[in-house]
Amino acid sequence: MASSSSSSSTQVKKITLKAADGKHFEVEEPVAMEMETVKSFFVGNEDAMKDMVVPLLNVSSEHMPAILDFYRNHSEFRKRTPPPPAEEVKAFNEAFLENKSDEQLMEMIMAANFLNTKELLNFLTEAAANRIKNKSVEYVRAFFGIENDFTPEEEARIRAENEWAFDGLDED
Amino acid sequence: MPIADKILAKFAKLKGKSLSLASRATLICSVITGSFVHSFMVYKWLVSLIQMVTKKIINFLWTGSCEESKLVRVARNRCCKPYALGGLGLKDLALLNDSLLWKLTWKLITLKNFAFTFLPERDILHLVFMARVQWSDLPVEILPIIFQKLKDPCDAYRCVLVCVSWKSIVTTILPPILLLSNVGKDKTGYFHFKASLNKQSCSLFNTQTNETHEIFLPEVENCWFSSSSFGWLLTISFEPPDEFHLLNPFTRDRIQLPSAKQFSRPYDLRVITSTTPLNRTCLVLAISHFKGVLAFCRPGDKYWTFFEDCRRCLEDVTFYNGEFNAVNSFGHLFHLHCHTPATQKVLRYGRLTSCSLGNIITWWSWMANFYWLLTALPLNTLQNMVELGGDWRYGMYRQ
Repeated sequence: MASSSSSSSTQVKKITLKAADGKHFEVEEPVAMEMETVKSFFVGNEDAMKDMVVPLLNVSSEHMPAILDFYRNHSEFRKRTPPPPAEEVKAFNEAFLENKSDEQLMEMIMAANFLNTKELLNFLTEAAANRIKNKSVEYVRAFFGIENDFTPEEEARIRAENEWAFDGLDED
Repeated sequence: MPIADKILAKFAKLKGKSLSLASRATLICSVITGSFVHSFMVYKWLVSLIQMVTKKIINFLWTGSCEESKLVRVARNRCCKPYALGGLGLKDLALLNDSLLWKLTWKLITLKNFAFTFLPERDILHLVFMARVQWSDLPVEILPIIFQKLKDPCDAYRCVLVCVSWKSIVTTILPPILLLSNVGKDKTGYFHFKASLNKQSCSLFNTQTNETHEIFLPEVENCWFSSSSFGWLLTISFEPPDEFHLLNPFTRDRIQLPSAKQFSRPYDLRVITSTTPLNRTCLVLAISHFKGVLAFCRPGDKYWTFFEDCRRCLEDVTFYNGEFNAVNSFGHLFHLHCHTPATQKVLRYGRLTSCSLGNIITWWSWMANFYWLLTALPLNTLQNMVELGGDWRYGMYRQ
């Protein structure tokens, strides 16, 4: 008993997360605790052993490394004194989103929603909002895969009333 | 059915009448509920059967016999809570059945047991659970979060046109927009109308692109209007006189406020609200600069309630962090308490030292054209904007 407690104090505890397709990921405990879903698995559940595997069925192993990377970096940013310059955080965030397709972004939003992590969800939804910025209605519909269920008259009426919102759009 | 009969037959053997209520509860938890588990794990029981059994169990609990019923004073779902939450620890049989079946489903999908791999349904279940998601599968609660991130009102209003369900969501969360008043102050301090009164439109200023747009709004004809909180407009009509309304320029919802007669000069009024005016608990606060009058009401009230001790040169008010805050021309910040008419009070809070926010607010509010700026934006945004620098302010001033 004594030996186990002393070893845990010297090295960071790890928690194993299991992604949807069965792959295992070892994560440091503070990083894993950023995710409310993982946290609730342990809090108030004393039987749960810390070396237990936490199944995360809605998160595919494709996105797991990126999500963990985000949390490692951001928790490091938070700990650092003085706080890192805004440019550094911004550069990391931009690099994070680079090469991410719309579908990948969507899947990560779902994953962040499932993991109940506010910071990541905020960041990703902002990215999604940026991707539909200055785009036409047709583009937004195609982006979200939504059917137009307005009648033509209704659509024309709303369009005429809010005409000002349709100037100066970007190319789709 | 035979299983249910067998279980219920156990009741006959139990001497329920000679047991106390607590011991009957324990008996149900341990013996009776336990005997269902085996069958529940494999079969989905009929709802009617579960209801019948539940009824008998409840009868047994309260009367000691499953045939006799009695008026019960404690609701069943309260009895079915765990001890820690104040219940008797009984189980809801329908829930127990469902959860045990889900447990089996879970095992079918996840266990790498040799026997399970032969089940053809396993692949289908796996597909259902692991299918690649699409944007249209996005949970509804995510959409408002994305819409809130749209900084440019133009983007938000284009989203209105995407589909009917989006329209209903977007119109509940509108990004901050600046609606320009049709009243301005000239150099001598007199108010005058900047546009003809029979105009059926109002101007909207987009802080992202520094452009103004005209929006069609027949409701503002023959009205004086200025911006209020949450993208709403305050309108005071001339015919019939002094009618106060809050108007949402996009959904065209209109909320009536108490008459403006209580204010001697309503044209330099600024009105801010604590939540959107559609909420019945919303507080509406009005400040008149000319005489330093401060009053509040809730939608549906007949009269405005005036603050008694507000002769303190209050310059401007804003709603921030769940409270109304006011600032005077010396930069003192005040909390306004207006929860009940009897205790309305202006409490002095402290002087703003850093970045002299008070002066900035004063600076804005002295120019009648800019009343709307504070209302449309929360306090922290204002701070950021002021930090942005002079050009922007100058641009606004020229509007």
